[in-house]
Amino acid sequence: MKSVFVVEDGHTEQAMIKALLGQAGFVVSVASNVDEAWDWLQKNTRPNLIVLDIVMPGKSGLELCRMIQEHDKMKDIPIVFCSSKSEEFDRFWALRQGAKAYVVKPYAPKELLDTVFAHIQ
Amino acid sequence: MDRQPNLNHSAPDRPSSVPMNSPDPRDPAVDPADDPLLEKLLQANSLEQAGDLEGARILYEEIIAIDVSSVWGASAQKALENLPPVNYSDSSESFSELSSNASGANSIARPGPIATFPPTGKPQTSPGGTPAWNWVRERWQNLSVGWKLRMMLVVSAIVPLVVFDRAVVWFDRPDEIPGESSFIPREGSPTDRARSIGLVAAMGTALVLLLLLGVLLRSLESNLRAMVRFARAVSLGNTQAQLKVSATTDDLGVLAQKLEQIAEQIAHNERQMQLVERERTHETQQQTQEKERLQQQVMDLLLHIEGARAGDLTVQVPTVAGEVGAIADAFNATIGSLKQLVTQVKAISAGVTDRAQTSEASVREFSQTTFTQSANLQNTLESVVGISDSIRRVVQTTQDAATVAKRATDAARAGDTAMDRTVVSMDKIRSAVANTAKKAKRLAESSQEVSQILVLIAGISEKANLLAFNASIEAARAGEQGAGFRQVADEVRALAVQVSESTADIAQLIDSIQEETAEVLNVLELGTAEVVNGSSEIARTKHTLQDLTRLSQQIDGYLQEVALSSVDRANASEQVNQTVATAAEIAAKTATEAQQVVTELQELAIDAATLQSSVAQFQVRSSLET
Repeated sequence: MKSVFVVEDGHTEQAMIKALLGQAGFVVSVASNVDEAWDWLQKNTRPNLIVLDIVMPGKSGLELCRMIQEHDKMKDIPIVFCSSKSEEFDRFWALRQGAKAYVVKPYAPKELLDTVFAHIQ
Repeated sequence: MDRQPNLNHSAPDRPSSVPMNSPDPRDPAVDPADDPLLEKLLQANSLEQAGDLEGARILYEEIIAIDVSSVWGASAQKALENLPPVNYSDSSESFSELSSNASGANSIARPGPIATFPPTGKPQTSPGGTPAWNWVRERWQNLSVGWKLRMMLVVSAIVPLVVFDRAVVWFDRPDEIPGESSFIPREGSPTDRARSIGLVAAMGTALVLLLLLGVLLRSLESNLRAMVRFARAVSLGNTQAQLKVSATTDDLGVLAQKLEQIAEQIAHNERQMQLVERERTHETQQQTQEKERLQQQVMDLLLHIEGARAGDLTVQVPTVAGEVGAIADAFNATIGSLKQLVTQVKAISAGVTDRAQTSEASVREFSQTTFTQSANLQNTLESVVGISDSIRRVVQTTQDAATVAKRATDAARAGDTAMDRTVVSMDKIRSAVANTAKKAKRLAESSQEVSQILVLIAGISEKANLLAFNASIEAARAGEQGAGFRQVADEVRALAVQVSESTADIAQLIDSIQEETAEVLNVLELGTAEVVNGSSEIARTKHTLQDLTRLSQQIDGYLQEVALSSVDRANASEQVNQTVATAAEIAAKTATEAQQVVTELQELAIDAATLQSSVAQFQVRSSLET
């Protein structure tokens, strides 16, 4: 069963992503900030995809993305950014950090699922 | 991208027994069952995935209706926007706020951004009409006002005549089957009754037609008035004015529609203008806000950059939405790298300083040691030169000693030879003495034999004397005849006496010979003993001389060995001499170089200190961390 790791600070959004991905048959794990996420990634088996929020308290999702990209064992995990930063510039910058896709909040459930299905390993 | 073949949420790879959410103790997330909106959203999504777009749409709309501002609402709104349109092909998203009042029966057009009106659709048909009647009615309604009037006039002119004629014919020939009407006048004159009935019927028909015409005209008038009022009101700017016209589809109706459309268009345009105006105001406000926000963000960023410029690399610009956010993120990443770099440089320069100081001390010590070593080597060199000289002298002395030893050997060997010769001589003497002794012994033995013979002779001569005496006595008895014999007997007696006397002499001689021989033998024995002694002495001497020779040969050998090894040693010491000289030279050079290294290390330490003080202005740990 494929697993998705969700890093999202908003509880409601976390719950929604978790429910949607769970409904689609994925094993979902969550973290609420970058440090927690990094800790989790180092202790657990690698997920098949990471859904990453950008603006979070403390370090940003972009930083986590870079940390993952610089890690030999994690750099192949596809990353999907999921953020309310809707400007083109943000999309450009987020994808430049090595992410596979960028979904703008608010998103339709299908949009998120399609993106996850398109990029999951 | 490999896409899951089944996007449907009834995906077969999802075991139904697996709970929707893997439990996570850290996550206080809402259980979808606890949140009706989330549950609805999931349901809607399932329906959408399953292809039931209408069902999904209804659920999404319900979510929006309950709470449009929540995450669920926003998500549902987005999903609704993404759903493909089903009912009408034109765009329905825009002006949705107008669509509610644009769907009334009265409304001629659903206002759109462009004044393209959809066909008015089916006209209001009264229920229960036959198709033929409906067709006529439709034709009539679609007929222009001029044609309607013309037709009414024609009908008003013709119908009474026809009615009159028909009535006359009908009542004149009551047995005739009605329906076979003919406009052709009949032969013969009708009855008066029939004519009067026909007249009444024609007049009645004319009246009804006139009434219909009047109604039509009245309706036309009222419609025209309404249109005039409406046009006036609209021209005065009352866009809310309502045009109340009876539903017709003739050109008046079309005119009314067009008027309404124009008014609606004007109203719509005005609303549009207002909307645009509002939007523009909103946009301007937003732009202003955006500008202010951007300015604020840029200022924040600049402040942080300034902090970093002042050396504080702990700055972390908050990542916000927009370009500034991306720049801030890039800045954070750059500062992060710089921080790492500076931390490394700091550590390395501290290490270099430390090491330079430590190295300086040890190199200084090393330099000192090298100097000492150089001096020691110089001393050693002198000692080695002294040793070399000594060895050379030893070689010389050894060679001299060897010469002496050789001479001693030669002398000893010569002595040995001489001794050998002496031994030979001695042996010869001994053998000569031995021979002499032997001969003397034999002489003594011979003289003893002689003396024994002499004893025998003396006995014989005594017997002879006695015999001669006896013979002479006999001869004297024989008288003269025996005279001659007596003479001979006397002679023999005389001879026997002479022999006795000679024998006595000889015995005396032999005695003396024996005595002499005994003395000689004694002397010879003594001599032999002396010779033996001498021989053994000589043998000992020879042995000693041989030992001496051997010794001096050994000494010579040793000396030669000594001389050889001394030469080797002299050569070796020469080599040692050279090596030590080279070592001393190298040591001196090393000392100089070490001094140089010390100087360079001091310079390096100064450089490292400078580097450290340069890097020290960068703060890589926040004051909280420290």
